[in-house]
Amino acid sequence: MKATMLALVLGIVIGAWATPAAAQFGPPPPADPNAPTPRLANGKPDLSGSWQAVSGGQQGSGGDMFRRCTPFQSKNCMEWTNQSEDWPFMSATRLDQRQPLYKPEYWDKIIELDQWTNKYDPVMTCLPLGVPRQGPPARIFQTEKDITMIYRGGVDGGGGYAEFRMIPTDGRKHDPQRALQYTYMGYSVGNWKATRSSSTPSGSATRPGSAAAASSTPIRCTSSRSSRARAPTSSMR
Amino acid sequence: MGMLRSGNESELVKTLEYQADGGTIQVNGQPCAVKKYRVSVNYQVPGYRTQIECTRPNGQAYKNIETMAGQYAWDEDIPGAEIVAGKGKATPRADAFQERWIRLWASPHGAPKAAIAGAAGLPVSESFGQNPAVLIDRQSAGAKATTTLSWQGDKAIITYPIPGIAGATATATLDSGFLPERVVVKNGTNTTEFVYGDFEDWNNPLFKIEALYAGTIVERRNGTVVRDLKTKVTEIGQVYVVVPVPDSVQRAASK
Repeated sequence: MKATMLALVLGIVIGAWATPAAAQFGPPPPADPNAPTPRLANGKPDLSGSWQAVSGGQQGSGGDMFRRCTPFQSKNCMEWTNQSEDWPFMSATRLDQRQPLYKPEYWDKIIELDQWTNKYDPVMTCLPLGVPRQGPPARIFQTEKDITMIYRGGVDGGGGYAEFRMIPTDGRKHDPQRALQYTYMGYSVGNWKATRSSSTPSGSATRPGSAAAASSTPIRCTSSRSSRARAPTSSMR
Repeated sequence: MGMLRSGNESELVKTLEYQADGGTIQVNGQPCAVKKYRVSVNYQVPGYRTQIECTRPNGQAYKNIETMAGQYAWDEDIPGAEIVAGKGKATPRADAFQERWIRLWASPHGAPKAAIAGAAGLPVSESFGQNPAVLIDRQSAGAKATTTLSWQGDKAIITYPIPGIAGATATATLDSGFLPERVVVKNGTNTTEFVYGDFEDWNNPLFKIEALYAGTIVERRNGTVVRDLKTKVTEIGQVYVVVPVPDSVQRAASK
């Protein structure tokens, strides 16, 4: 939680977690890979719109969390007991073999944090989730000078609040003094490192959120609070 | 043993953290009084690390970290030796591989995992995390099972091959609660016997999770007691256990 990540490629994060929803209700229409990238007046790709997580999400589980009461489970055997006891077994993130390799001197600390989730996990004490755990934004508003991300509440096991982030993209520098301020959702500034011209080659233009759009028009942000970057995935649509 | 989880009753114990509350182990043929005995297992790798500190009869301290993963065995002077360049020393121990491998697949949790894999005719890597009942249904579909079940009175006797060691066979005797009370592994001329007792939920009192482990562990090799341990605490909640193989160990094995 306290790790500082100096460079977070915002386009990658958005692309890995979210896909634009053309309609707020009901399934979105299929993406058209040949649709032109929406752009602002200044030519930058426009990320504005409603977004939704693609399948899997960042937490997920191996399925139904409940199990039968065991012969050894003689007292207080309820669904809620089973759910809380079984979560460590069911969490897809814990069963995933692709775990990061931390430095050995931190292995015991990681185990301690795992064991004492009830004490250290912010969701257990009704604190904000922070990023990246808050998940993808539900709505993005973008102007030529900033990007505002709106997040849903209750996104992780019912925890987390409706949150927002405002990321200036007007060329200002990262302010190390502001970075010292404690904010769960981070303090970020962004700037465009590359922008394709509006005359894109035929067949290669994509909607924002698509893999091509995310990889070819990255926004480099600096964040005071984030723990892990995610690689681009093919789950983006 | 509480290893089956979720509505699907899949076998989902991936890792184990185990600490002994004392005991005796054999080091170079001499007893050594255990001060620290901590095992960190990842069955999915599979691999584990046993951190041992003990005192010999002459008062001399002995310290070692026995490690294995996949087809490699090595000793470490610190956990994760050589993972960061220049930190720690990893010593290849190909000679100890079979002993450590057997200890894994004859352990209280390892034995049922290996037996289930054998019953399904699958390697443990493919049976991991699945519902045993569904796996065993593979037999009716023609899968060649290598695990057998017989009865001696009211006790179930399970035989299964030790995964990855040709010809090594384990015979597990289950108690009245179908927990492994005795596992005997024959590997060539060597016989290793593991006796388990006092099964309980040894997890932290504040985090009982209805998954049992043996409270006493006795290991005999060819009749001689080589490990005699009492359990202090376990952690069976899928905690972080990684066992990366150092480059030097891989290079030594390829020579």
